[in-house]
Amino acid sequence: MNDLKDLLELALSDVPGRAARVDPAADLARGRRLLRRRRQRLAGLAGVTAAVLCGVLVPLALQGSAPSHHPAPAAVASSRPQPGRSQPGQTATPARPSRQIKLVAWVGTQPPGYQVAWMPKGWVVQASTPLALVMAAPNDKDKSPDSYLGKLVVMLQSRDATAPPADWANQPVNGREGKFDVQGDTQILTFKNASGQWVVIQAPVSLGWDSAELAKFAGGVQVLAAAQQGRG
Amino acid sequence: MPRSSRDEEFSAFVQARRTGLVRSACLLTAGDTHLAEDLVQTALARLYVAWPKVRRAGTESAYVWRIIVNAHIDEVRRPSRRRERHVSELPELPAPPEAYPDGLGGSEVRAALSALPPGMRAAVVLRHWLDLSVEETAELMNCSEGTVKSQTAKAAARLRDLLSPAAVERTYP
Repeated sequence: MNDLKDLLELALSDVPGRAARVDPAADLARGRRLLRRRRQRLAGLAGVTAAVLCGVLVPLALQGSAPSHHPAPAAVASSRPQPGRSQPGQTATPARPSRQIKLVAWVGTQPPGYQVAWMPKGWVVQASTPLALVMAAPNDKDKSPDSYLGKLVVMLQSRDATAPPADWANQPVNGREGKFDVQGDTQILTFKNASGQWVVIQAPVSLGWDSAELAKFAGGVQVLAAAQQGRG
Repeated sequence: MPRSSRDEEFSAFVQARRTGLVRSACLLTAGDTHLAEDLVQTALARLYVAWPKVRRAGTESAYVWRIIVNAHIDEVRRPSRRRERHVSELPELPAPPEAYPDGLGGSEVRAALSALPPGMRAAVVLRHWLDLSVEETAELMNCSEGTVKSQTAKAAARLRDLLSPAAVERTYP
């Protein structure tokens, strides 16, 4: 037998599995899990990058404006609060769109892992797993439950992440420590629950909520025993 | 859970290609079906993550095979899980199956494949089982075309030696 193709065919001749029926569900689940971990890791990196940039650029801007008795217009502008960007240690107010989506009482079955008192009016639940609760506008074209852009997401902080950056704005939730930040079109509120776990709420600026409204939503979130932390 | 177009397309790809991928990966692993399954699972999960980009480029198979080949080479190089030793003689082999009493059997060929270094085996599988060109194989293995040619030539010669009647007679007297 000289032909390599025939030889390789012979090597597989008694290997089972040729006629096995394929169910892609397990591969799909593994792929989704990996994608979710990658996105969470990227979101964590983006947060760290934003925090580092904020830590470097804001002091530089303040330093540039401080010594001059006649500050240049640019320096004056840089020391003012920026819309869409929170200031360290203060309660943040993102740039709000003209329309605000109201919070209404949660109706329906509670999601696994979380108990939620409020939800945005008219929004729907895209996914509810122990890893995350994902809500979106009913006409949201992005139906993937693993994509969080433009959606309201509740999850426990990744087990690989540390506490939120100290320079995020303070926003207590139910009297407990909470930190708030705006990153582009997304607001993030991270707060400690009664068990001392950090809970992360990610919301699009398009909801029209300020940090207090987001804290109201967060105040209605309870983490149950079934909730799980992600990785990355 | 709702299914996106990514899910639908990926599921269709898995249904159409998974069996073939596992069987072909079995050649890379010289018959280790568990390792072949692991490699395919890893590759498919990573394919799902990269699906939009890979699908647009139409390179699904090449992407999967690049991961399978590299993951396999990494796996067998890992000291804690090294499965192969390079020896001058064939290692102890299981009895040839009775289905091939007068000729070569699948287990004999797999044993001979297992005696090849993983890179050499990958070159043979990609060139002669998947019918990839030298250029495609070189790109997928991230090596030169000359390396692919020399690896496949050496592999063919080595397999001829290992599976010669005299060698088989020595191994299965």
